[in-house]
Amino acid sequence: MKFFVQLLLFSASYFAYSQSCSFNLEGKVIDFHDGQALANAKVELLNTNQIIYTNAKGEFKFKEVCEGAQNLRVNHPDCQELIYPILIERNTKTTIYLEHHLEELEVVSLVGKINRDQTKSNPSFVVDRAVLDKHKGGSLGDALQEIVGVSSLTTGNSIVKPVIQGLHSSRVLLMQNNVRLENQDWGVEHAPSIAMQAAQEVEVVKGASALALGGDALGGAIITSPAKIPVKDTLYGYTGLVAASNGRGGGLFSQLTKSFENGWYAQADASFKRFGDAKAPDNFLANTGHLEKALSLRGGLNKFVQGFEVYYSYYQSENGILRDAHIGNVSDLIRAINREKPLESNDFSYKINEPKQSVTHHLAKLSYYRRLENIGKIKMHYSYQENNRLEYDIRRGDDAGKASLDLNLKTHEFQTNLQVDYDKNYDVNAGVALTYQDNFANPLTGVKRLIPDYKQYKIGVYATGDYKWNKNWTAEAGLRFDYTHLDAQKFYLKTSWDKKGYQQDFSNIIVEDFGTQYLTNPKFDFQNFSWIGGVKYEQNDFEAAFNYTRGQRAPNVAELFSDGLHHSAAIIELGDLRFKPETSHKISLNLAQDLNAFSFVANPYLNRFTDFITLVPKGLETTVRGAFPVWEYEQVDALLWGMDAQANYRIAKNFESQVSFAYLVGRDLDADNYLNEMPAPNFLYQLTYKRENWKDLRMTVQAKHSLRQHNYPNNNFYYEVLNEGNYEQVLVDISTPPEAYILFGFESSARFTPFKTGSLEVNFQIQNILNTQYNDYLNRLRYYAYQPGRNFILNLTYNY
Amino acid sequence: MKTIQFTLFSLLFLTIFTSCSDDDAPEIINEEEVITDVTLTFVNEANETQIYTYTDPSYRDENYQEPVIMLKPGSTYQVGLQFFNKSNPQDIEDITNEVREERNDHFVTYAFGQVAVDLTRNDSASGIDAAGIPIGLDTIWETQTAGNGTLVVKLIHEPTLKDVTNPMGSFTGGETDVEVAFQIQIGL
Repeated sequence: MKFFVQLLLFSASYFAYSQSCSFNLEGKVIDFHDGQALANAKVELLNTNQIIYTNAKGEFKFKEVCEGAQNLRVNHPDCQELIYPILIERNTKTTIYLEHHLEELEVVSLVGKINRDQTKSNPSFVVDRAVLDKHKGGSLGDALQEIVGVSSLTTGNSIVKPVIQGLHSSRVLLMQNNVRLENQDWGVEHAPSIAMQAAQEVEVVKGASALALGGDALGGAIITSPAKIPVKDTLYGYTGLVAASNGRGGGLFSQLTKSFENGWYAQADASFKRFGDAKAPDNFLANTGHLEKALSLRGGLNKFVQGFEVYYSYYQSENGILRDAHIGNVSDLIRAINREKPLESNDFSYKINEPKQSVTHHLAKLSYYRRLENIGKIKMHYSYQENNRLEYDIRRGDDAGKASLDLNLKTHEFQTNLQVDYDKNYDVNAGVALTYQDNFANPLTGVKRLIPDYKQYKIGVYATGDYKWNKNWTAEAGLRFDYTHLDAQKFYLKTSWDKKGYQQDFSNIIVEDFGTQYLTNPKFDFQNFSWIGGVKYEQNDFEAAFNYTRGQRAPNVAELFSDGLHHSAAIIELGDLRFKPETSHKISLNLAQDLNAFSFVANPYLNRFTDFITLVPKGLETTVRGAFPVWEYEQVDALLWGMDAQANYRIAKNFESQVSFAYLVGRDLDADNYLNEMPAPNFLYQLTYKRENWKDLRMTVQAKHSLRQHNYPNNNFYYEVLNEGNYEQVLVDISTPPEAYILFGFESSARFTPFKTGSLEVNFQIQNILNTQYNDYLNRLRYYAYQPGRNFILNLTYNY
Repeated sequence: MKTIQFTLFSLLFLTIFTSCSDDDAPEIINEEEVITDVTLTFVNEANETQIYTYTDPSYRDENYQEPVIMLKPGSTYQVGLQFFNKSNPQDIEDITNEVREERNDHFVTYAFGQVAVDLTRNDSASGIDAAGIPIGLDTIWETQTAGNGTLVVKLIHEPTLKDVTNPMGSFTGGETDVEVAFQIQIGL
């Protein structure tokens, strides 16, 4: 949708006499981008009443134009109006450039709208402002669950990690305003450091096919983008308020945008959220409050030919971790699993005590773009990110109140991308991305570093292209190469160093011997190749796309370096320095039909991994703190296959229904077993009543049906417990998935205009209407408490 | 255009690489909080002392041997329990003092397997919490008949309930800071 208007004037051979109003003015309006004629441009010769619309060939012709200075006014629906002065001395030929103005995105209420910005043959899905607004009180992960095939891996109720077709963490990349978010994403209990309030829309690409963003997103990419700013003199914004009964909290949101016709703009966005302890149907979940503050500022110049932007965003969050989930060892785990829930009747509190997490993220970016005539567009940006993650445990003595984990991750990135799209049938993108990263683990915690100090250098080079060879068929191909150099400084306890057999393989990396520990300097070079190929067939309302993506991901720092107790999970996790990159071969088929009253999307896929890095249970290890299950990262062959499907049907004029279904099986082919923590099959049913002419009223009833996961690995084990003087074997059931559940929800929204200007949007929701007591398989704290119960949410937004 | 762009990015990259390539070695962390050793000190009626220490497997040296507590049947022992952090051999820390200071938040339990020992709590004032509960750092053991078995000692942090109705101790809530098993031989 990038138009440029070119006005070509052809002179006709004509005899000019002294009479001044006898000239002809012929012209043609052309899209600058692709040279296509632009029909229906309105061309007005000022000071006369002559108005002409260009024909299908983009042509127009004025007759009897007077000599002297004249002005043309040219308008096109996609373009900014232009006054073009022209001196008429004879039959004149000239060229006029019109600037394209960016239209504000319309609010589309259909969830899971298909987009093809990233790849043609593997369509992405978009949640727009309306859906994001609905989840203002929640997190990005909550909002993304509205996309079929996207689920959430949660740690309690406020730490929500998106899972795309069974994959998460380092396998899912997050983009914030075109910058890859670098925020210790290896941790399953690390929610993305991103405030979704500032985003206008969020796009999800399933699989690694968005090669321009990275070849290692084997699960997929989540792309949050701020609103496009119109090129016109305007000042607008909104202020919103959300209040929720569960957690007795809410938030304030505000955004203000000022833009000028000459392309300059500025935008500020701020949000604040605070919630106290959430409530399961029967009790408060002690220490589950959270707090989030976010600010973003941007400004720049948005011209058609070129532009730049300066952007800064700040995000700070504090999350309490369920107090009952803080356990010491296997005995505590047994007590927790077997006890009545809740452990005790807690009082409601806003206070966030240990254990808790506190994360601060800064992102600054400078970007520039320029359109190149008859080529396309070149973009480049430099960004700097700083992520500070503090995790607080319950500690003793002088250490009480001191963080147990304090990681500071700094990332510099430079990226440039050239898009060649002058020909409507071709679209080629090529680019380079350079990243330098420095992680510092603060020794003042007094706790052995979970993640070592390291420096990481990355270079990525990619080229992607698509070609539309006729009305029905489009082909796509892409290639990306990533080189990663990782240089770490890691302490190993000698006992664990020997246990992993590193003395044989890595004795050369020992830098210093500190008695009980070695300081080592592991260095790695990883080379990853990723490529895609796909075709798309479209005819009328039907579309079929087939895509093959090979993605490769270098092992992350947790997979390489973990060597000890993971407190929040009460397990010992062991990484391996010998790992090589994991590779995914994914084929997916996307079928979509969009008829008037009925539409559907079906997306079956198969994702075959070699060297898939996964945690595998390895028995128990006894320490002075008691026994702990040991989980070792291993590389296995794995297969994930499944299908996402969604259908919409308009039952009557104002009634729409929607069903979505996601099913997935994950197999560890080496162990001939299922993979752990794969989302259970789930259905979402929605019935919506819409009445646009009645305050834009929408009412939706929703049922979310999560089936029981039957395809899980049985990692249960027995543990000897001393009871009344005798040892007993006790089964520790950490694997059995919870029962199926159905949650009912209600949502309604309407738009009012109580004031002279602006509009007031009111949104009211009830989640878990029946106050159902349930547990979710993907909640890491499911052994300790139930999921939150009923919640009333009121959301007011005033747009001005 | 291309040249400018290339120069720009090489410059940037150079700046980044050179400015950040100081290879300062990270500081070693000797965990302040970790308990590596659990020591039981037995004093019998004849004022003879026996000491048994359990060391965390990660911190054992090659000479370490699994302790076996050797007691006589029908005898009485004053037993003291201590916790140490020996992760830095140059700076051995006695964690027991911290536990005493935070006696409201700590609790020790004992459990015997296959051997019969009568245990009473014998804490001094520094081991009795605000609710008057002896947390179990000092105990008196009366051994019964001969036999081999085990003892499990636990140190619990922030239990919600401490119960000494049975002097071995029971609790709810909290998390385990220490859970070690000692072999016991009560013989002649």
